[in-house]
Amino acid sequence: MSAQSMPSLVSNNHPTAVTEIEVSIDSFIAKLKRKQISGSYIIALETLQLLKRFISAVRWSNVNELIAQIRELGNRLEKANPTAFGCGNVIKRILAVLRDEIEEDMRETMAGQGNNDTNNNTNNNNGLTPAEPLISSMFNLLQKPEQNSQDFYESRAKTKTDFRQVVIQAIKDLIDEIKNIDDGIQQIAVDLIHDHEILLTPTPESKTVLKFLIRARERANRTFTVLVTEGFPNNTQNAHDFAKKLAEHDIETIIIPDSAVFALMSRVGKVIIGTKTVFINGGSIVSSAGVSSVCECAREFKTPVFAVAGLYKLSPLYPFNVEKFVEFGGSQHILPRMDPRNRLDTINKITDYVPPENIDIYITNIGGFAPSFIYRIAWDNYKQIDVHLDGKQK
Amino acid sequence: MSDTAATKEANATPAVTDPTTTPGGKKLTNKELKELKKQEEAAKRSAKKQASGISVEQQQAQAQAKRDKKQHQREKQQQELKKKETQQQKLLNNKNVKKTSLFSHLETTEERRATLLAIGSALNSPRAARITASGLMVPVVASALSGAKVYTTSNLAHNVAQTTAITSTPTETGSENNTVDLAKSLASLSLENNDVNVVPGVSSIIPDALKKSLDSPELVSNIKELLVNKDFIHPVISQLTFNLAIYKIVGSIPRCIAMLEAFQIVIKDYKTPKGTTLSRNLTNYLSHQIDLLKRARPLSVTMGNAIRWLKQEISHIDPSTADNEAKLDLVEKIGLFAKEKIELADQLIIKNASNQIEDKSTIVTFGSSKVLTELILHNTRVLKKDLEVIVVDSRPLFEGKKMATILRENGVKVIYTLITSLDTVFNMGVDYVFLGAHSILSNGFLYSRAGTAMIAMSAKRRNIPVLVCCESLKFSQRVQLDSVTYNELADPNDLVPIDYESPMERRSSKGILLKQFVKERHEHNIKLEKENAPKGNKQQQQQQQKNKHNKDSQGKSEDSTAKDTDNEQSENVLDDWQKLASLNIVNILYDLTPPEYINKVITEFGALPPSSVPVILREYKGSA
Repeated sequence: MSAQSMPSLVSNNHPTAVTEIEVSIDSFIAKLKRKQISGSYIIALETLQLLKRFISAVRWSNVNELIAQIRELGNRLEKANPTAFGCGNVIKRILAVLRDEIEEDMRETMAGQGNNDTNNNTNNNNGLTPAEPLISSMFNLLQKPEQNSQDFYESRAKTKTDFRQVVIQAIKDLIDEIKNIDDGIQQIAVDLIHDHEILLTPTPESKTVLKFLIRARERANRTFTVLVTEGFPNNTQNAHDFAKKLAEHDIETIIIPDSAVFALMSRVGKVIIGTKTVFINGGSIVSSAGVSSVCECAREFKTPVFAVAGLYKLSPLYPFNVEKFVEFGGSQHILPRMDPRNRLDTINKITDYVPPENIDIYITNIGGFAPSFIYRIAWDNYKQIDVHLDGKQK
Repeated sequence: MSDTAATKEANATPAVTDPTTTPGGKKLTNKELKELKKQEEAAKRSAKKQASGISVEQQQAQAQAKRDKKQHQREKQQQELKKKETQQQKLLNNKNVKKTSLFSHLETTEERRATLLAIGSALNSPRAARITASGLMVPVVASALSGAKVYTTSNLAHNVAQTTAITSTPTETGSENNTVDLAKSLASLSLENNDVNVVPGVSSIIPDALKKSLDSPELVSNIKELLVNKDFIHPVISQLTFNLAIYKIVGSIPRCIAMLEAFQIVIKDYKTPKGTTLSRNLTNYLSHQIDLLKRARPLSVTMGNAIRWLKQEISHIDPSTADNEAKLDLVEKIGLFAKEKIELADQLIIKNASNQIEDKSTIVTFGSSKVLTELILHNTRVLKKDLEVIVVDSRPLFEGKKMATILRENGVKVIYTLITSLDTVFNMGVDYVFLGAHSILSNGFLYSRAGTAMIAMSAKRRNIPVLVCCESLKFSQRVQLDSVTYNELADPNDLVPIDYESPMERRSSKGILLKQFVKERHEHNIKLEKENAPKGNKQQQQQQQKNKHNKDSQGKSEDSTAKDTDNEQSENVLDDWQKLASLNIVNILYDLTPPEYINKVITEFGALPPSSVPVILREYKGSA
């Protein structure tokens, strides 16, 4: 599969380097498929590392080919595990940076041309138009031909900018951003907790939530109580670990069964959830079942729900079909071995989708936003053209 | 210069103040050296100061003042330290009874269990039965929980000499001193003697933590009161109490039936004492039984209603009727009551509710309900409706599994799922939500198994009708607004043991008390060894031998228990959660569903909105 899907051009040029990177791509894909790596943080970082090596190994004649190859890689990773959104997200962000850079480069060369050749007025106009954000004005949409860069770079192989360097720098920046995400989130989120508040978190597997709570206790020195739901059956171990860690940091922690959420919601001041992916509509996938019910309860009691999420969890996808994004697990966690004649059907949800109307705010590392505003943040970081990596590039 | 000297002095003083801790010549020489140095330095200083014009007397006075100050400070520090220690001690003591701030007003399972153990030992062991209030320290004796396990007297004689570290409340009169000693030795038997084999599930295994929960004065007075009246308690009632306490009988209707049956036996066996009449004395006699029943779990609303009815019936008895006749009459009435209020009511409810269910519909239920199981079976088998049932269940009781299995065995299409997948369940085209009830309160709130409210809420938000099937026996006069103010706390340990790989396989918490006990024992032994270490040589040797002996046997027993537990379950993260002061586990049994989530309450009087509950209570109270 891999050999066929790789562009023939690459494999002809540098067989050894390419096979090497092919091997690591294949092993990463295998790991994704078997869910041997989990957690969007790790997946995002590993994808970036892989992309870095891929960029160093890959050969291209013009920059459009580079984009095509990155998209190809992204598509393969997305296909490997459609619910591991981390891969797609980071690759799409790198693509966005690359496209911005190309535009910049193109404008500069155009401007240079314009100075040299005064006759070329029409072209000049086009080139000099400042690069507006994609959705700012209808006029610009009409004025700026998309084909421009494509044609432009197909005509010349040499460019001013070293795009390989650009991409690698972008990857490094993104890795830095992902690694330092907690600080940004914590600084904003601490201001949202008052002393002696009762908090509830249904997502005990979230490291961000854990770090945030510990920080609020230690740095801001707030005393508060945290209710942790069990997330039975898939998340109970995480819940126990989480509760123990909190208790060791001298935070009053109470473990409650999932069924007691409604009973206690009237006492809860805020619900904190960690997210796995945030979609462009402001809804999010969380990696613990039962969260959507908890958020519904919170909505019913008018208890504020805030979600903490790093920017890299923002996905430019729209959840038209939620069932496609929610994962289901095996039945062995819910039903023990049974008499084969009397088998029961069962449902074992692993992840859950929380609709935007049940979340009050998102706390990201660049600030807090209402769910209705998430699309705007997404378009700051992604290009519309790269939302779906499997389609043909226009 | 003087500063450094001062610090040195401070460094040296602790060694001076407690010479016992640092025996041996080497240290002494060190001290001497230091002192010499100090003197030298002091001489130097004085020489310097003299040179600068301060007299020797002044210097001495200054030095004295300094020393005084130091001493003062030191004393202060020590006092503070002591204070801290005592505070910590207090904290530790408080920790023994773990309570969350949210639910501190509710009785914990530990307290209940401790009470039961105390009473159980008094009731079931002939030896300990003679001991009254201070017999609280005798929770050793095997109770009805696990069948009798009697300790022989030869063992006792061997152990009486052994002193134990158990504190008791000495309210005993001299004549009964012997029995107290006996009790103590009985208590020490399980804690001290290694020869007694430790069997899981036998109530003689009592971790210190549990014993300490007996310290609260209210509890003790409660138990005392019960123990004073223990002669009145009928064995059937004590049996029932333990069955209720270990959740052998669950569900408000089965509990009520079991209680009524027990009362039938009690009334049959009842003999009116001389000088009083049955109608006056029987109520009183029954109250003693009820007091004990209350210890197992708070009375369910059905039980409360039945008791109220029974007391009323008793008071209506004509004093002139013969005892035998009155007793037979009462027993018969109880039988009729159960039949009318439960069996016939259920049939009416089923008939009524069947009208609401259309063919080919999907029904969601939560937990297990007797009347709902019968309703669905009636609809599928008798009325031949094609129904699909989704049974939603929750940890830790997994009652729904029972219902799902019964339905499945009878050929009903069943989907079994946990409450965490609720969102998906309601996306499957659900037509009705049918809920069982523990009770419906006078303000229309439904008081039922924890999780019910969440399902009702989710259904309401999706415009799916929510129907509650409930006998009018479950209607309660009480009003309540949220689930925190009044609730029942179950054992938090039920939530601890879990096999993370296959969570459904093991979920009994039986091993936990045993583990706790083994750990405490181990700590206790270590402590003993430490205490014994500085004693005389001869004693030490003896002790060592003893310890060795102990260790051998203990090692064996511990090994075996460790193996047992290892085989049975892997390590749980929360095995020692009780040690973490700020960690709590809350396992509440019920929650409260607001009336706006409930479309209809189906009772034997017909289908009503939840707001009509007080009307029913008022109109039909005479018959109820």
